[in-house]
Amino acid sequence: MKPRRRALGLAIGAALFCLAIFFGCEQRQDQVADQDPPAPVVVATSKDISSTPLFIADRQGFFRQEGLAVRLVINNAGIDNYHDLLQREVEIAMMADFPLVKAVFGRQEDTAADRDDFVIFANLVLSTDISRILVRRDRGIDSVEDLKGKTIGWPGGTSIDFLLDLFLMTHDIDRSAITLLDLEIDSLVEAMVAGRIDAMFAWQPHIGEAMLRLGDRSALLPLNLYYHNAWLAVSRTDFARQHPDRLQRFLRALVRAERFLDRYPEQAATIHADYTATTPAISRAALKDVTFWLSLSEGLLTTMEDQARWLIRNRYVRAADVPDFLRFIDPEPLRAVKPEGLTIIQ
Amino acid sequence: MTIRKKLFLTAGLLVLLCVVLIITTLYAAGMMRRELRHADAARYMARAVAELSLLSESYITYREPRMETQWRSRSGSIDIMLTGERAPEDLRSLRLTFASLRKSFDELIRIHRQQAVLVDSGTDGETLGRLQLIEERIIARMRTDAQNLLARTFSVADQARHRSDRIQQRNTTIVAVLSISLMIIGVTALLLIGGLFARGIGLLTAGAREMERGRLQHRIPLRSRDEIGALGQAFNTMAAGIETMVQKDRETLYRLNREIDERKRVEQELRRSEETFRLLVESSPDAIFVQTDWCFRYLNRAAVLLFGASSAEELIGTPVLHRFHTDYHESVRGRMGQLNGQATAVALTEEFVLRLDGSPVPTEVCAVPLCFEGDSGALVFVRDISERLDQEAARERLQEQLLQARRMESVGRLAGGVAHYYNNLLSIVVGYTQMSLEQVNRHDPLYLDLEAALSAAERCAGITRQLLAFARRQTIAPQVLDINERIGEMLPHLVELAGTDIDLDWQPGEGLAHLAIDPVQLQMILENLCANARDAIGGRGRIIIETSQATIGDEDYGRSGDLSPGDYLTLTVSDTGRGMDRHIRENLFEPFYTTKEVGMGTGLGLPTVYGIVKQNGGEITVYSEPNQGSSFKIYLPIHDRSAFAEADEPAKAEPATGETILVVDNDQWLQKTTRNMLLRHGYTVLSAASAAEAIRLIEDPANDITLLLTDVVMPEMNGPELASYIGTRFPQLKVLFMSGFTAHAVVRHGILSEDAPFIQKPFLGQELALKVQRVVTGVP
Repeated sequence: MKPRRRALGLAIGAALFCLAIFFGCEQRQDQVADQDPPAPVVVATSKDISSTPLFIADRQGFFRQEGLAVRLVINNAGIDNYHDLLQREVEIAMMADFPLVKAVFGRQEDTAADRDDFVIFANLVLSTDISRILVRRDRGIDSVEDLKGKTIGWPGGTSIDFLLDLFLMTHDIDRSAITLLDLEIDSLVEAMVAGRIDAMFAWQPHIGEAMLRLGDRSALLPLNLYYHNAWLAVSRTDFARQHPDRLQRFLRALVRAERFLDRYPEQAATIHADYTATTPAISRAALKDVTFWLSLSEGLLTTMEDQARWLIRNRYVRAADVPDFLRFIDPEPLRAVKPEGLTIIQ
Repeated sequence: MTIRKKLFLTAGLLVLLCVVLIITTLYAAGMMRRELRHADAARYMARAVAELSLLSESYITYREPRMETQWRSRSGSIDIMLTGERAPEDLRSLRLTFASLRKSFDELIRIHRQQAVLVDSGTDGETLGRLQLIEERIIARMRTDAQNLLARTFSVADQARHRSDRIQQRNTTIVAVLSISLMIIGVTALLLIGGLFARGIGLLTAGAREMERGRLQHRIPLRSRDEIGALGQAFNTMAAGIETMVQKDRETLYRLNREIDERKRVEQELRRSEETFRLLVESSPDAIFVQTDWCFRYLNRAAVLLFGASSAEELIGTPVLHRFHTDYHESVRGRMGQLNGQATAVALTEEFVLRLDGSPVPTEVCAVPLCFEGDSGALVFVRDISERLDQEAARERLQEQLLQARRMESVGRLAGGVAHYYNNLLSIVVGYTQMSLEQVNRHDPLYLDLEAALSAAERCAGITRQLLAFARRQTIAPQVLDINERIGEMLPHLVELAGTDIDLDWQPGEGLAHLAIDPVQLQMILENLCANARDAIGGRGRIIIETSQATIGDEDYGRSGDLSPGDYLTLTVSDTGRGMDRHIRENLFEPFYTTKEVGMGTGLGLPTVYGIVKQNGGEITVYSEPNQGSSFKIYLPIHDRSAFAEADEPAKAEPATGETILVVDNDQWLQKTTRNMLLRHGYTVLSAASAAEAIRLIEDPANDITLLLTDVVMPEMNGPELASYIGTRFPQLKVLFMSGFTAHAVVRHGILSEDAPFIQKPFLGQELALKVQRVVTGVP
C-alpha cells in the first residue's frame, strides 16, 4: 500500500473510530446484547386500542431485538386475558383496572385469603376517551334522555360495568328505564348493526367499527365525563420473580413502541388495524382518544380504590374494606426500564 | 488533481468540518435551549397542576366560590400552556387528561349546585345520596387525573432536563469528536500533502542526482496528476531530451575524441619528434645556435657553455658579431650577409669566438640558412677545437719526441757501435802503449811520446765510455742507495767542479725513498749537469741541486716524456746561466751538439746524462728561458716503496667549491694545459696571456676571482710585478706563482720572496690542485 493511501486509511479509520465511540455511547442504552437465544413469553391482549404498543413492538421486532420471543394471544376483552393468565396459558396479560379490582375481591370471597398470584408491573395509558355510548339515530336517540326505554348493549364483567353505572347515575337514568343487554364485545357490534340494540356502551375500536358500519344512522352521545380506565400489564407473581429480566425486556420493547407511535402515528394505526382486523381509519380515529404513557402512577391506586369503594358501597362485594392494592404493584421492572414513569408513592 | 486543488479541497474539507462543528454546536445549543424551555414549561405546568390539585382538594372540602374562581383561573392558564403553539408536544398530549379533569370539575360544580338546590328545597335524601355518590366518583376521577397530570408533567420536566443534559453531553462529545476529526484530518492532510511534496521532491532530487551521476536513462516514477507529477513528467521529458541530446553529443564527442586523440597522437609525435630533435640539438657536444637579424635567437647548452654564459637568455637578442674575435669580424660579417641575404650555406672555417669573459676559443664554424619562426636567419654549428688543437699539439710534441727519441736511438746505436769498436781499438792502442812504456826507459824521449799517446788514448777511452753511456751500452752495477747521501758525498767534488765563482746550493728533499742506480752513473749525471751549468753561467752564478719525490698519475701520462704512472725521485739541477732558446732545447741531447766555443766542450755531456736517465727507466725535462737560466729535472724510479711508504701519504686535493682561478701565462700551450688541469678539479678558470689582460679580468667584479695563478717570467710585466700591482687594489686576492725554475732559483734571483707561494713547472694535475687548494684555504 502506498504511503498516501495508508495515511488516508488511517485518517478515515481514526474518524470512524471516533464516530463509533460517539454513537456507541449514544445508543448503548437502547441496545441489548442478543447473543443469547430469545426468551419465550406468551402475552394475552385484546383488540383494545390501548394494545397498539404491543402490536407495534411485535410487528417492528422490538420484542425480538430485546431478546424476547413473544407470542401474542389476542382475546376479545381484558377479562379473557386475565383468565388466560390464571390458567397459566400466558405469562403476561393486558387488562383494564376494574376487572382486576373485582378479581381481588373475588378471591377474597372465594378463598377467604388475600391474593398474591399476580402483580401489576406497568400501565400503558395515561388517559383515554375510548369508552363511549353509540346510539342509533334512526331509533330516535339524539340525547341521553332519549335512551330511556331503549335497549343498551354492554360487555358485562368488564370495566364498562363501572363506567355504565357511573354514566347512568350521573345522568340520573334509572336502570329500570332502560333495557341492558350483556353481550360479548364482538356480538355487541353485530347486535348494534343488526338493530337488536338501540345503543351500545363499549370501547374502541368496536365503537368505531359500529359507527363505520352504521354510518349516519349512528351517533356518539356527548358525555359529561371521560369514561376512561387504565390498561395494565399483569403477570403471575411466580413468573415475575423468576424472570424479572423478561418483564424488563418486555417493557423496554413497549418503550420503543411508544416512541415509534409518537413518531409514526399513521403506521401505528395501520399496524393496529392489521392486528385487529379493522380499518386504519378506525384505528387512526381511536388513537386520538388515547394518551399512551408507560407508567405506574399514584392515580392508578386512586382509581382502583375508588372502584373498590364503589363495589363495596353497591354491595357488589361482601367485603367492607378497600384492599391494599399497593401490594399488587411490582415497580422493579419499570424502575429498571423507565424510572421516570414510576411516580407511585412507595 | 493538482496540489492547488488538493489544498483547496483540504481547506474546504476543514472549513466544512468547522462549519459542521459550528452548526452542530449551535444546533445542540438550540436543542438544549429548547429542552430547557421544555423543562421550564413542564415544571411550570407541574406547579400549576399541583396548585390546581390543591385548589381541587380545597374546593372539595370547603366549596368556596373563591376557590372555584381560582380553580378556573389556574385551569385557564394551564389550558393556554397546553394549547399554545409553543407548548411541547408531550405536554400537549396531556390535553386529554386535562380535559377530563376540567370536565370532571364542571360536573362536580353542577352536582354541587344541584345538591345546593336540593338542600335549599328540602328534597329527599335519596337524590342527595345519589348526587353524593356521583360526587364521590367525580372526585376520585379528578384526583386520578390530577395525579396523572402531576406525574406526567414532572416526568416531562425530568425528561426535558435529562435530555438537555444528554444534549449537552452529546454536544460536548460531538465537539470533541469533530475537533479531533478536524485535527486528525488537518494533520493527515498536512502529512499527506507534506508527504506528497517530500516524496515528489525526494524523487526529483534522487532523479537529479542520478542525472548528475550520468544515469540519463533514469526516470521519475511519479504518476500523480498534480504539479509534482507534472514536474516529474517534465523532468522525465527533459531527461529523455537530455539523453537523446547527450547521445548525439556522445557520438559527436566520440568523433571529436577520436579526432582529438589523433591530433594528440600527432602532437605527441610532433612533440616527441621536437623533443628528440631538441634533445639531439641540446645534447650535441657542438654549439648550435640560430641567428636572425644578426642576433642570437636560440642557443643549445653547448653554445651557452662555449660562450661562457649561465643561460641562453643571457645571449639571446645580443649581436652575434660580438662573440667573434675582432680578427674575424670582417669574414664573419660577410658570411652572415651571405646567409641572411643570399640564403646560401657557408663553408666550414676556423674562427676564434669570444667567451663572455673575453677569452678566445678556437672553433670550427659552419652555417646554413634557416627560416626560424618566420624570420630569415641561419643555423650555425660551432665546434670547440681547443682540445683537438691541444691534442694535435701534444701529438706533434710526441711526434717530435718520438723523432727525437728515434734520432737519439739511431745516434746512440751509431755512437755505441763506433764507441764499441773504437774502444776495442783503444784497448789495443792502450795495451800496446803501456807495453811499450814498460819497455822504454822513463828517461827515454820515446817514453814521453808514448806517455802522451797513452794519455790521449785514455781520453779517447773516456769519450768512448761517454758514448757508450749515451748509447746505454754502458755496463752498470746498480746499487740501492740514498740519493741525498750520495749527493752529499759528491758535493765537494761538484763544488770544485763548479769553480769558485759559482755557488752550489744543495737542497735535499726529505723522506725520500731509496734509488737503485749505479753510483758512477749518478756521479756522471751530476758532473755533466753541473759542468753544463757552469759553462752556461760563464762567470758568477748559482747552481742549485734539489731532490724530491713525485707521483705520476694516469692523467699525467704523456706530459712527462715516456714516464709510466708511478712514484719517482726527482733530481733537479738549475742554474742562473744564459738560458736556451727553443732550437737549443730541441738539440740539447744530441751527441756532439754544443753551443760552446771550439775546444770548450765535447758535446757529449748532456747526451751522456740523457743516456743514463733512459737506461735507468727515467726521464729528463728541460726548462729554460733565454737569459733566465735553465733547469734540468730528472725523474728516476724509486727502488723500493718501503722507505717511500714510510713517508706521509701524499695529500690529495679536494674538489673545488666554486672558486675562480685566473691563469696568466704567455705560453699559450702551457696556459691551456694549466687551465684544463684546474677545470678537472672543478675550478672556474679564466685565462690571460698577458698581465694587462689579467688586470682587466680582475677589475671586472662579475668575475669574482679567488686566486691569481701567474707565471713568474713574462714579457713586459712579470708575475711578481703583476701580483704587486693587483695586491694594492685587491688585497684579498690570493696569488700563486709558477715557473719552470725552481723556487730556490727564482728566490735566489731575487724575483720572489721566500714565503711567496710557488709551484715549479712542469707540474702534475694533482700537484697543482693541492697547491692551489692550500693557497686558497691558507692551510699549508
